[in-house]
Amino acid sequence: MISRALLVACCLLPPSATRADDVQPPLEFQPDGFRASGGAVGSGFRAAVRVAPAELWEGDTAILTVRLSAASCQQPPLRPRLKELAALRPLLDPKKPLVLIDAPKGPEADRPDRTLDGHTWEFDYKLRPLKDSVTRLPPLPFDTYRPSSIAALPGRYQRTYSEAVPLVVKAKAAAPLVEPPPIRVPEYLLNLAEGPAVLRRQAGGPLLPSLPWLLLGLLLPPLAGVGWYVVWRRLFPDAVRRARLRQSRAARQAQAALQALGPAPDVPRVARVAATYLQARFGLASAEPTPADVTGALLRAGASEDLAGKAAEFFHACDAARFAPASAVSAHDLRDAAVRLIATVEAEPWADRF
Amino acid sequence: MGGSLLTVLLLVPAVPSEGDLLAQGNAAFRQGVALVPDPKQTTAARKSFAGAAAAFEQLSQSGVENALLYRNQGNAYLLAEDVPRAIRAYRRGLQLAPDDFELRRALAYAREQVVYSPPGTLGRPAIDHRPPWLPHLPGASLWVVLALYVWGCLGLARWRMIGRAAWLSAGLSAFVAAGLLGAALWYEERDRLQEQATPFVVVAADGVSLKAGNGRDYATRFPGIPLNRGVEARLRFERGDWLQIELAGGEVGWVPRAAVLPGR
Repeated sequence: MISRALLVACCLLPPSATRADDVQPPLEFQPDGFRASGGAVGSGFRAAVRVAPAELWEGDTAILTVRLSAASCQQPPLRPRLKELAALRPLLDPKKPLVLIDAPKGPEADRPDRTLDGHTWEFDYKLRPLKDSVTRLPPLPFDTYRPSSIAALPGRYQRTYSEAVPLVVKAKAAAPLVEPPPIRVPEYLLNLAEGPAVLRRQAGGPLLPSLPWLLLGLLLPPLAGVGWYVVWRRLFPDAVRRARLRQSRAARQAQAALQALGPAPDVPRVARVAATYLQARFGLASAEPTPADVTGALLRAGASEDLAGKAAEFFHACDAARFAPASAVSAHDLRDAAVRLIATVEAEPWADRF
Repeated sequence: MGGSLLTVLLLVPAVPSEGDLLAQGNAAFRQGVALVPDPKQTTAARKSFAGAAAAFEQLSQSGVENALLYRNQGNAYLLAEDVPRAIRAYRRGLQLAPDDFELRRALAYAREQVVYSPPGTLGRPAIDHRPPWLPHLPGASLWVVLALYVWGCLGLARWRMIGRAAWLSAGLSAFVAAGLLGAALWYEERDRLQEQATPFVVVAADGVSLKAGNGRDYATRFPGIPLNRGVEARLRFERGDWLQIELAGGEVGWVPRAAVLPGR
C-alpha cells in the first residue's frame, strides 16, 4: 500500500525533477523525425509556425518562423531540419513549387534565432514559393522526448503539430517571349557523318596483353633462338667440327712454320706464314695481302678495330723490313710478333665461329 | 490464351532497330540544319537537334560505339546548346579514335563555350603537350614490337652460329627498335589504365560548388568560384549521392552526383 502511494507520488512529480545529464533519449522506439525536429527533451511542448508576409509574388522570399515552447525542458531544441520533415517533402522535392532556404551554416547554426523566456525558442527560415498553386503550409509534426519522473523507468516520445498556415502566392505576369539568338557555329559542326560505318561497333581494348601473356611473349623468342642454335649444332655437326678443326689446324701449322724458320728467319717468309694463316682462317683472298686487306678481312669477321689495327701494323712492319733495309725492326722480332698475333686472334671468342 | 498473348504483344511498344534510330537521328539533324539559316526558327532548330541527339544517344546506349556516331551525337548536342553532353560525346569518341581530327576540333570548340569562373584556371582542361603530328599507336603495334623482338633474338642466334657481324648489328637494331616502340606502347597503356581507374565526368549544371566533404554542410573549397556546365574532371570516389572529383589542376572536392554527367 505504501509503495503504491510512493509510485503515484513519483509520477506526479514534474519531469524537471530529473537531472538533465541523466536524460538520454533511447534509440528504441525513437521516431524518424525526432532528430530532424530538434531533439528536444522535456514536457508540454507546443509548436507554432508563421510566415511573413503571408501574401507574396511567385519567386519572392518570405520568412518562416517556427516557435517551440515547453512547460518544462531538460534539453532545449536545436534548429529543426525542416527539409527532412515528411510533411514538407512533397512540396520541396525537385521541380516542386516551394523552395526552403535553411539558415546560414556555421558553428551557431543550430542555435535558436531567439530565446524568448527560457522555455520558448524561435527559428527563422527563408521560404520561396515558386508557383501560385501553393495555398498553404501543411501542419508540421515535431517529435520530442518526455523522460519519466522515475529514473529507473523509461520516458516516452511525444508528437505535437503546428497549425496549417495559409499562403497567398500571386502569379507574376508572363515574360514576353524573346527569340533566342540565331545559331552561329562553324560549318563543320553542321556536317553529318553517314553510311554503314556509323553503325559499326568499335572496340577500344587494351594495347598490351595481360601479364602472363606478356611474360610468355618475352620468354619465348629467346628460347626459340637458343633452341634454333642447339638444333643447328646437332643438325650440322660437320660445320661446327670443320670450324674447330680449321682453327686448330691452321694455328698449329702456322706456329710450326714460324718455329721452323730458325734463329735467323727470312722476313718475306714470316709474312707469308702469317698471311697463309689468315687465309685459312678467315678466307683472306690474297696470298700477299696489303695491310688494308688484312684490316678489312678481320673487321668483317667481327674483330675489334684494335686487333685489326695490330694485324695491319704487323704487315706494315713486314713491308718496311723487306723494302727498307734500314728499318729498326729485325726479322726475329717480326717472327715473335707473328706468334703473338696468331695467339691473340685464336684467343678471341668470335674466332671460334670460323 | 492465344488471344491474350496477342493482346500483350500488341500493347508492348515496338523497340526501334538501330537502323531506324540512325535514320530518325539523321532526319532530325538535317531538319535542324535546314532551319539554321532562318533566325526566327532558332528554337525549332534547337529542338530538332535535341531530337537528333536523343536518337544518337539511344543508339550508343544500345551498344553501337564508334567515333563517327559520337561526332554526330556531340554536334547535335552542341547545336542544341547542351555543352556538357557534347563534351562527353566528343571525349567518348576520342577514347575510340584518339587521332580523329574532326573530334579534336569539335571538342576544342565545345570547350570554348564553357564559362570558367574567373579568376585563375580552376576547372580549365589541362594543356595537351603531345605534338598534334604524333599519332597514337594502334592496337596492332604490339605485333610489330613482337616481330622486332623475335627478329632480334633470332638475329643474335644466327650471329652466334656463323659469326657474321651483320647479323649482330641487325639483331641489336631490332632490339633497340622493339624497346623504343614497346616503351611508347607502355606509356599509352598507362594513360588508358589511368583513364579507366579515374574516368572523366562533366559538370552538368551551372554554379556547382566544390565541397570539402560529401555533404552540403561541408565548407566550399573555393568560395565564389563555382564550376559551370561543361567543366571536366576525373572521378576519384563515390559515396552515396556525392562524388569526389579532381580537376585538371589537381584540385579535389565533392559534388552532388546529380550535378555531373558520368563519362561512362
